Amino acid sequence: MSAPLLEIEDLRISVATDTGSRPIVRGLGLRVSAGEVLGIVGESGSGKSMTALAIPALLPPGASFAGGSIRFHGEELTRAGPRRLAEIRGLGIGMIFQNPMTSFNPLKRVGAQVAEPLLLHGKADRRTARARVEDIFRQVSIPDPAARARAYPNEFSGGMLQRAMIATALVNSPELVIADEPTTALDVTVQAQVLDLLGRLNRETGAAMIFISHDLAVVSRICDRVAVMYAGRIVEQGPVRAILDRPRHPYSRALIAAMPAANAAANARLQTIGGEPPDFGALPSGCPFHPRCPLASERCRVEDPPLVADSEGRAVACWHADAVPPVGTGPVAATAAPSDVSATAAEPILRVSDLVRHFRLPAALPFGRRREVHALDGVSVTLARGDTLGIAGETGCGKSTLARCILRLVDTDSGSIQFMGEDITGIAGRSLRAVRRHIQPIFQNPYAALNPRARIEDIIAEPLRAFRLPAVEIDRRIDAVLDMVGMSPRHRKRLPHEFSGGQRQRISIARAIALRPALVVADEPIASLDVSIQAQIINLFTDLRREIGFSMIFISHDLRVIRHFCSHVAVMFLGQVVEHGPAAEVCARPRHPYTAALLSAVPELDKADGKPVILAGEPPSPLAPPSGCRFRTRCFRATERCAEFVPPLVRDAGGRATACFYPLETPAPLAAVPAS
Amino acid sequence: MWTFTFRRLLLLIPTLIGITLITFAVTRSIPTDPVAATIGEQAAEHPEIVAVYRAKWGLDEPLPVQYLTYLRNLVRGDFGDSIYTHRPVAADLADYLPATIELATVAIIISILISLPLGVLAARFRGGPFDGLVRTVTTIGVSMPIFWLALVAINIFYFHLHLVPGQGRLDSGLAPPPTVTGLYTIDGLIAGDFGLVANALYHLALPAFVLATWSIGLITRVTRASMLAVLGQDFLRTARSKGAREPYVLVHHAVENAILPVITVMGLAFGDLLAGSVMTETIFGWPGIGRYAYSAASHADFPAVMGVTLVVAISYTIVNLAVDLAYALIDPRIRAAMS
Amino acid sequence: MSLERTLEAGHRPLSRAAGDLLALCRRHPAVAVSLVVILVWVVLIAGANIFSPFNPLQPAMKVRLNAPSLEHLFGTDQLGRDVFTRVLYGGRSTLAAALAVVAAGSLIGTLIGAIAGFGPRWLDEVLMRVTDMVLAFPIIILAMAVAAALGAGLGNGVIALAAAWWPQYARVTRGLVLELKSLDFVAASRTSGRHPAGILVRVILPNALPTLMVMAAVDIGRAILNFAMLSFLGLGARPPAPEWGAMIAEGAQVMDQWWVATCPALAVLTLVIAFNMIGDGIRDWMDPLMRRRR
Repeated sequence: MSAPLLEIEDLRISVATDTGSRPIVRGLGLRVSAGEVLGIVGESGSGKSMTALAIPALLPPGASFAGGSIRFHGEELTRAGPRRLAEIRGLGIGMIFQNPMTSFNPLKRVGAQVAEPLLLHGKADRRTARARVEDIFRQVSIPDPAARARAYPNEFSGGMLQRAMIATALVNSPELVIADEPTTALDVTVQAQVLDLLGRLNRETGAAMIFISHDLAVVSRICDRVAVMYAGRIVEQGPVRAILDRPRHPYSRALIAAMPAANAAANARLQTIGGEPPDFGALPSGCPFHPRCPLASERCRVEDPPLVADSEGRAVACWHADAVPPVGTGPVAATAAPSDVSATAAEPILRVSDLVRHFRLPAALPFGRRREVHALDGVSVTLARGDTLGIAGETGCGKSTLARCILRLVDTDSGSIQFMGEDITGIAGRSLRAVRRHIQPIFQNPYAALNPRARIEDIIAEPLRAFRLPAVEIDRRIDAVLDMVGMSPRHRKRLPHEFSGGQRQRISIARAIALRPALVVADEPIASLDVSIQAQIINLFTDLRREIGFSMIFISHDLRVIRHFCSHVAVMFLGQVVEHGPAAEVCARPRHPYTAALLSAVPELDKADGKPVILAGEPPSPLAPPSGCRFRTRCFRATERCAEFVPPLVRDAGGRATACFYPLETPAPLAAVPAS
Repeated sequence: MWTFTFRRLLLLIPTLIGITLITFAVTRSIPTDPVAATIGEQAAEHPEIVAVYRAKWGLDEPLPVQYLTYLRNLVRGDFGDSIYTHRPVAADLADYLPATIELATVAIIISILISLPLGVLAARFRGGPFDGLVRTVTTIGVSMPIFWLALVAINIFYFHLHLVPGQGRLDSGLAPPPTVTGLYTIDGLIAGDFGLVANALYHLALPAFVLATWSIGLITRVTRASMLAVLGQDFLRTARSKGAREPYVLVHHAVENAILPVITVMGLAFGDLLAGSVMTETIFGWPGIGRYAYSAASHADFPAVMGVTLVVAISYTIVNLAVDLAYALIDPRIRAAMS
Repeated sequence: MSLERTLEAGHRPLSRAAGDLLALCRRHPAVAVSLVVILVWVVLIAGANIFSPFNPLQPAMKVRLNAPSLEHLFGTDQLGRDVFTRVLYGGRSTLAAALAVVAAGSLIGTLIGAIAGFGPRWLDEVLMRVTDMVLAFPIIILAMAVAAALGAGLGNGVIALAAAWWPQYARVTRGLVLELKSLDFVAASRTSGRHPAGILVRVILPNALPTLMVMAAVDIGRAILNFAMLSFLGLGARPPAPEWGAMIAEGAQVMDQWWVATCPALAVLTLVIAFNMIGDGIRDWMDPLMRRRR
């Protein structure tokens, strides 16, 4: 093997905190060869992003280099002066950052910003730079390059802007590209596009890449090798397939097992890691993973295991690597979740019919166009008592608005919401309060969902007091629900800021179930949590539903989770439901092209080889939805008919409904009306 | 941009109506009889004069009608007569306004020239001795009772050091240039009389500097804060990752983004300047509407006070309009939101 | 996100607030110095009759315009009155007026802003249009007009200034209420079945209060400056009553006896600087980015 392109040894990075300097990267070593794609995976606080930023010496203020060596082409970067570093950045090493929307200067044209590396490194003058920018725009599949180069960042969508970011990183043909969570801020279908693009560019240009992500499935789609980080160190490293098939560190094994797999039994409990990722301010002694590790022994508590390489090009830092069981075995909870009873056509607990909600944006100036966001445009879903309905879709599809309408936090323009047979669409005052007792919310951001000035007991008691429960009963229930969500009654007097995100989400859940509601509406309840915590919360929902038996609406952008957890699913696109039916069936045999694309775009561990369906184009704007079928501008099956007529949501005998003229898996169009 | 300008101009109408509503409300909220307050105590002894005014303002009509009458008088340029100067207030204002505009403009130019570099450099070298000096001096600047500063300045530079000229916009022997804009510096340039321009600037220097004390402090502090906020932005890291070095990052990416909030503050600072001109002009004997307002206030010359209030509010509104336009010119996001 | 920072700072129990203040002083020594300056002034002003044997109003023609000495620390004015004594008594008027302006302005503004932010859309429109109208005037100019209409006097000066003071609070409060209203914990309060008025009073306002209180505390400096200005123009307190702005105006007649105008001016300057310094310290401290950098 030739000399590596990048070689990091014993890298140490510290972060200044209120209580002094803390190590966040603790002796990290890795190598990247020319043309190779290395993935770095870890949860928040694992030090993965700091490692990425340390390579071109772009650590944020507060973080500082504390030792070790970073050699690029054999040149020591940690001792390079600012002039030399500037020569390397943008020429030898290109960077792609997480959030394209904030990574561009909002006041400069995108083309000018993409051209900057050319001009800064004297690779082009103003005129030749323009041609080069248009070339690279074509290479990253930005349509109409000349016009897009003259546009400003606010005129780009997130996905397009990330392409421009990639173009910027590649415009000088660097040998190494560092991509720090490049798809985390993007929707699934756009993420699939960008991953596809990065893979293609790697093959075309031969540039090596370091790809940082919290999502093992994303990494497995694009990388050759992967390094798993935990608490500032690499705990396992090796070829992607080998690690996915046979992880040797308990943490990597747990990460893989915590992900709802496509072939796993629906509704089985997920295998979880107990506890939470450590706070880098207070690392446990010995192996930092030992408090969460099922294999931990006395030695793990005292001695931190070194990263040991084996002959197959793999390395692992665990005293008990040989004892790590293969994925798919081990302590899976035998009890399956309650089987849903909807098959017996129980009376629906919730029936939403033709719901319409448009948000009128205020005109900024007199006579300005008052634009309307079509958040919901005729949405109908039903939820049978005891069922869980997953609502899937990407940003702007209206899924959160639907949740807020059902919770009666947002008014509706037309249509109706029937809850337990009662129309709750327009009720107010006393009757609305009476209904609120039975419908409770769980929100996405656990940091915003709890009143920072209220004690935990007051937060949980708020709905109980509003419904005038006796004080003794309130007191009893607070302890009971805290216990049910896995928190201790000792936490009652504390304030929210004393808890981690996962714990706060448990408190939110405790508040939601305190009234024993009939329906819980959860809006992306796990989206802002770390992977290992996500599985814990999903299992908690499963347990609680078995104990209390509430019905549930579960909103998520992640079809993997919905397929695992929900009995039914409704897929939304731009304010409309395009497919609705039993979750297992819909996910196994999608009929609407959008559902199919969404499913294929979701990165999965066990289908890394399959070629995903990449949707063309950009998601249309909810301000100006396309005529006819709203999905048609991105659909691989669309015809003129789709532009002219709106396909109705047609229900079949099996309880599945699809809004498409040319559904998949159906021999002939539903109605044989030729396009006019 | 043109439709933006046009639409933004339309927004002036409700603002102007609002301003006149408030001045009208103040006029009618006087505890004493508004007529007596307006025509002075002597005149109020004569019932026939009072009757004429009551009729002119329609004081026996309902309030909305009174407001319309008030508005009609304003539109005609009838701001009433000054009790003290016995001239129409509108004529007085026309005489004095250009002097104030000239003084305030010079002061804002001084502030911008001094504040922007100070603020940017203080932010760049945050926490260093230069930053500390800038912070201290600007804190004193915004805390300064400028009426006292003006007194001290005139005492030192005029009475003791004889470095600056005395009262007025020109030396007493000089005749003003032919009136085009009413600003002596501009009119002097138009007339090609550079000696006169120099003399006008000589007279402007000290009052303008004193007047600029606040705005220098304010604009520097905002520039520094805004610059610090921008220095933490992601796109600066992007620029560095492209191989840009610090001076380039600062000049090409940071400053133009930092300038946006500063422009807003410039509009606010202009309001402060107009308010400050009341004191500065009085102490320097500058024949502008500030001094006019002071003498009106101290002689209970109510129509004159209201006239100044109205004119200042309208100027302030126009400056804020200019601020909005400048904002849109720089920031494509504002243009997109407004179109 | 400064709101989040404020929310986090705001929920700390009072026992922690003392510790926070101490930490703030340690990080910004200027804040500690400013607190001492304010404390010294407050003690001096409150105990004016203890610290000075002189009568602030009684003329003493034999000692007209005496330079500062051990007997008359700040010298004497045109009427032979002790300037130090007058500065102390004058502080009572100025400080009381400034406090009254901030109290009235912030209460009215908070009330209007809270109603606008939480009430129905049309009410919001009406209240904000009125606020914008008032904001179209520079503060001192509008206060001058109102004071001219009401007639000079300490109380009228306060009313005039407060009339121009409230809109900033209305704006800020409305913004805070709207921002808080969009947060999930307020939505959770709504779905808990709580009465809307209870949500505003018990959930939203307590979270907005820390920001408003800091704003008001720091605002006292600006109010002192503006009230002194109004008095200087003869529209606030009227002579012979001692008041800092009015005293500077009197001292303007005798600038060669610099102490007559300069002593009250320095009183204004030191107090306003102190309040501004504290404001800077708190702002710096509330900014998470700055906090991290330190």
